[in-house]
Amino acid sequence: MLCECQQRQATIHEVILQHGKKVERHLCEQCASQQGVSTDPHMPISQLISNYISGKNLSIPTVSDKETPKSQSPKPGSTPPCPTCSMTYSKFKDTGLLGCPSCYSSFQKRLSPLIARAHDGGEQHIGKVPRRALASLGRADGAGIESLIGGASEREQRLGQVRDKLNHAVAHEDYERAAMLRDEMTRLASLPTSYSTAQIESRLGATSPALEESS
Amino acid sequence: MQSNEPSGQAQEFPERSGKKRSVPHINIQEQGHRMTVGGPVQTGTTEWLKGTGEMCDVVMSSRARAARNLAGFPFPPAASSADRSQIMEICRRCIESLQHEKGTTVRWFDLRNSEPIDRRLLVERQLMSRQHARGRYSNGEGGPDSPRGLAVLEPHERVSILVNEEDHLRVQAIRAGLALQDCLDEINRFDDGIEEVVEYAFHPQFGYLTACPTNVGTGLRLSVMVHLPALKITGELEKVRNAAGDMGLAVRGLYGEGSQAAGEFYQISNQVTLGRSDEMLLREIEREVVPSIVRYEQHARAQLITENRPLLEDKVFRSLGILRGARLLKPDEALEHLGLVRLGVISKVIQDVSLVSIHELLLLIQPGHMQQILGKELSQSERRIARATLVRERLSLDSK
Repeated sequence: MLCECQQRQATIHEVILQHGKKVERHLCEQCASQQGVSTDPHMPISQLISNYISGKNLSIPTVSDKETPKSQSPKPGSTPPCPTCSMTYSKFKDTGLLGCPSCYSSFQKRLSPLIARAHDGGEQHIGKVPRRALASLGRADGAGIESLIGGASEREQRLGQVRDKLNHAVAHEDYERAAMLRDEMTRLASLPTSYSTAQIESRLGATSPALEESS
Repeated sequence: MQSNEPSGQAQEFPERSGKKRSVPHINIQEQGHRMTVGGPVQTGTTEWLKGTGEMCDVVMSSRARAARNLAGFPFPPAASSADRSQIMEICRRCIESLQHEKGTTVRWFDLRNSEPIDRRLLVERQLMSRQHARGRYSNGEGGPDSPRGLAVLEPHERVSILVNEEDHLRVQAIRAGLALQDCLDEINRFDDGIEEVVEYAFHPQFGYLTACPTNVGTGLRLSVMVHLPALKITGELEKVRNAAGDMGLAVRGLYGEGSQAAGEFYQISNQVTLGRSDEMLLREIEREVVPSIVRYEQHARAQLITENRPLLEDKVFRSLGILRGARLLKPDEALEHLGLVRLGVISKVIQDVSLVSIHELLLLIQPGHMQQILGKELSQSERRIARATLVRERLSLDSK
């Protein structure tokens, strides 16, 4: 059977209730994802639980996503395709390959637990940072350079504080604040610990012309 | 090859129309570090078979590779052919602009137009993956004509850079013996040089971004090839496998992913790339895991020599007998016996064969190399004859 677009085979078939009437739709994967029809309503129970426990995926997708009328934007929980390369999450699950660097942000909530499992619990990059990224981290705010210089123990301490605040925010369902705190944790944890002040200054100095050129 | 661009000028790559791109800074200065383009591929011995370096009685070679991607472009498996071409051109010019040590040249292979035999040789010399030779990605995209390339630092073949494999860039460094630190230093030199020119895809949480999330973080894979024939004989190999598994390390065969461990050659490599720094990983593999495996193997060898010499002699001389007498040799069979003869040579039980010959044969008995030496394509049965002849002649040469 062909999709509504008359171009590809329909692989997603759904029956929805619209104004009390039964409507059948047959779509190919691309049209389905464009129209916000979830192609992956059956998230494994183990993942649901792990997401719930880790508090990463703050909204849990349900089968009722299927009843989302096409005119509405997809509910949080169904995963819209990556806006940069239109890769869908279900296609990623089939191939194990992402489409572009932005996919990591587009699918971040769902990828995080998956990645942590693949990396023996590793959730946060530690180690080499591209010089340009290092420079922009340093420039993002005034405290940036200070925390770059800060030693590992200081950083751990600060990470702990932010983590506590994050847990508190999640417990009180303050997701906006939680997201901010998560970003802050990410930023803190990504800072290298073994650079000396001089090294950082020389690194930042060395890369700044390039940054100015590009901005 | 001469570049088509006038030298001495900065090259700006235009923002592509349509989608908003974040490729702000690709500015390649032509500096006159020309590359040699296309074959021939070298066929003599190569770095990983030199048989030198630290712990070289057990450790054949060390290898490190870093996976990198350019910001603002789709990953190769999802990119269009036009995108791949553009990425390849950026990467090629970027590699061309790199400084490299005196006395070395960079040879560039455009794998779209390369001879199948060249691709085969490059795989057999461990300068690139089988997947890269085929050009087909695991999602079914691509094919032999998919835009992709390979840069090899000659003559020693210690560094190779794969362009448009699963990631835009995979920089690989190989050294004989246990020398992961050197490999890592070498990779970092190239990595930093490349980053002068392009902007990498990087995420504060996930680190260096890669097409497959199993490679994110450092994007770094460290692997060490070890030869463990004595542990096989004493039946203790499983312990090594289990111990490595417990530490999150993968154990693979001589010719990499999916290959059989014939001859008791194994590659031990990390699987985790996120949450552990390069230094941590290096320390774990180079200073802890591999030395303990090496001591274990050395202990098993010593034990065989002092307590069970007849068994050891029987094993290695039988293998030598087969290699010197066989008229037809299958690849696995040849590898198995070469492995045991290597054990005999290193334990000084076999006196009239050199280690150099064994190592060269490990390379030359592969189909591509035999075909290149004989100058013609060979069927499977012809290869078995050629392999047996090559081995026989080489080993009888040593005894004279």
